[in-house]
Amino acid sequence: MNVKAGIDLARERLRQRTIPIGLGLAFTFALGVALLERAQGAEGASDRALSGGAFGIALPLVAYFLVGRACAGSSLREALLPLTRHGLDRRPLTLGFALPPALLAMGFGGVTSLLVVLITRGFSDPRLLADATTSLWIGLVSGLAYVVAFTGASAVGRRGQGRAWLLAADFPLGAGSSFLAFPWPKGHVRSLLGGSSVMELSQLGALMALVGTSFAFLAWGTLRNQR
Amino acid sequence: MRAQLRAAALGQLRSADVDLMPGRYVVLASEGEALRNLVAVLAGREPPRSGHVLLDGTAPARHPETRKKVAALFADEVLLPAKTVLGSVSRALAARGAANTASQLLANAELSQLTDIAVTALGPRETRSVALALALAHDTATLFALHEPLTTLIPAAFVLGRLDEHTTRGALALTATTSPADASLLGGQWLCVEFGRLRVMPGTTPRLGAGPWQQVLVETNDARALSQALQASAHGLTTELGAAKGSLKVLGPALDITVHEVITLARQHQIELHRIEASVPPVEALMAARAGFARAAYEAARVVTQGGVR
Repeated sequence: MNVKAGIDLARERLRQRTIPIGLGLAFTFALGVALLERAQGAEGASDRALSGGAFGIALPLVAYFLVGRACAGSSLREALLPLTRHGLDRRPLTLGFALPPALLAMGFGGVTSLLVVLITRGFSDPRLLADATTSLWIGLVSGLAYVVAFTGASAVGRRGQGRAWLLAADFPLGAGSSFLAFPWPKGHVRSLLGGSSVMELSQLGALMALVGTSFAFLAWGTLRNQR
Repeated sequence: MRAQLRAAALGQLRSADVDLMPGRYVVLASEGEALRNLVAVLAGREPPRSGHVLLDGTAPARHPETRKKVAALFADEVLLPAKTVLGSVSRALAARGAANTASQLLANAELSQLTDIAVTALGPRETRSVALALALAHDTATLFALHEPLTTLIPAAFVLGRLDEHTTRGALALTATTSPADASLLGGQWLCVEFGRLRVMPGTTPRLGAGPWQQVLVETNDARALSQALQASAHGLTTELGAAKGSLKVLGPALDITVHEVITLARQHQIELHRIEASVPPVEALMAARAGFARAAYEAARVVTQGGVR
């Protein structure tokens, strides 16, 4: 009941005209970067477009935007208030609440990655299918990880400023490869795409770290919010 | 429901130290932010930054079961998202597990005109009105924590009537306002927030909403005997013999209390009552009496609070 109520709450909040507009802009940006990278040269264009425009900039911003909309610009506690005031438990509510934006971000990550690979490689490239498949699951996992992390971070600050702090930390700190990059999704996503790894973790390690740290953010935010 | 606040602080509310039993309370203060935070911590919207708030021994911010028994109206309200107000109220009632119908709830509160309006199109006052209608319809709530309940679109008579019903069935109703006039209308034991501190000293809280302007004209066969009986009443009634034979003016704390006392004493002393009529004093007299009483209560509370601080 509580999980479903959380899903319904987020779904209703995401039924706004700004959502398709925001997703459309991000999509256009990612594809535009892919076209530019392709124009620069086919060699490595796919990796540059994915780790730069698509997953480096567009996906974090989309996830931030979706979670912000679902929270109606406030903190996680305030976002859930219309239900928690009637005696619903915040913990299962949070789980359900994160689901609709996560699905949207996963969809965005998946579709964007497929089209970026298609644009940068072209139909004739023999590695198209393999690259597309790999990029697809990375897009799905990255979308989920970012939304989950932003949802947890929304528990910080009266207006959920934790989201903005996470985004602000992810860009510079996640760009490195040291232990400072470990808590943030960006470095692990880059590693999964074949870029430099964080703390020399394997791809499996990067996947585990990406999912683990994101859900750790969510768990921390949920505990912070109490029941 | 028993509400205990021990050194509870949040924002401008620096310290709340009260122990409230079921009944009616009105918190009067000029500090709007402190009142807003008082309602927020009491209803479990936010935990206090320090100290604690317990409702029947459990913290509302941590226990969903406790929040289920709380009906609140916050300073800034957010309704459940839905296409229309009706949909939003229906979802809120479903979350509460209530059997009421949304349309009936809105109609009872005279908010039918909002039924088909989009939730996003509502202004803050309309949003608070719907939230108040939802709160007042919570028939299983044992705590009502309401911030400025008389500043919504819902008629004051309806709000006061519903509060009366809830307090009669044993609920604790705490209202918070910055308006002395509203405080006197809301009635109940008064509390005061001064310098961010809420305290109450036992036995120092007279009833608000019991102004001396309630006058009743009585026609009886023995005005003098009834007058003597009424003057000995514990309710502090005052009487004045009228110009006509058998007529008597009675000044009492509230209409229902005064009339009840008149009838009870007339029966006890076997005095015939021919007519009882509420007399409405001039508006100016009423306003002056109400403001004066509320101001006196406020000043008395300041003395108590400052005494407590020292």
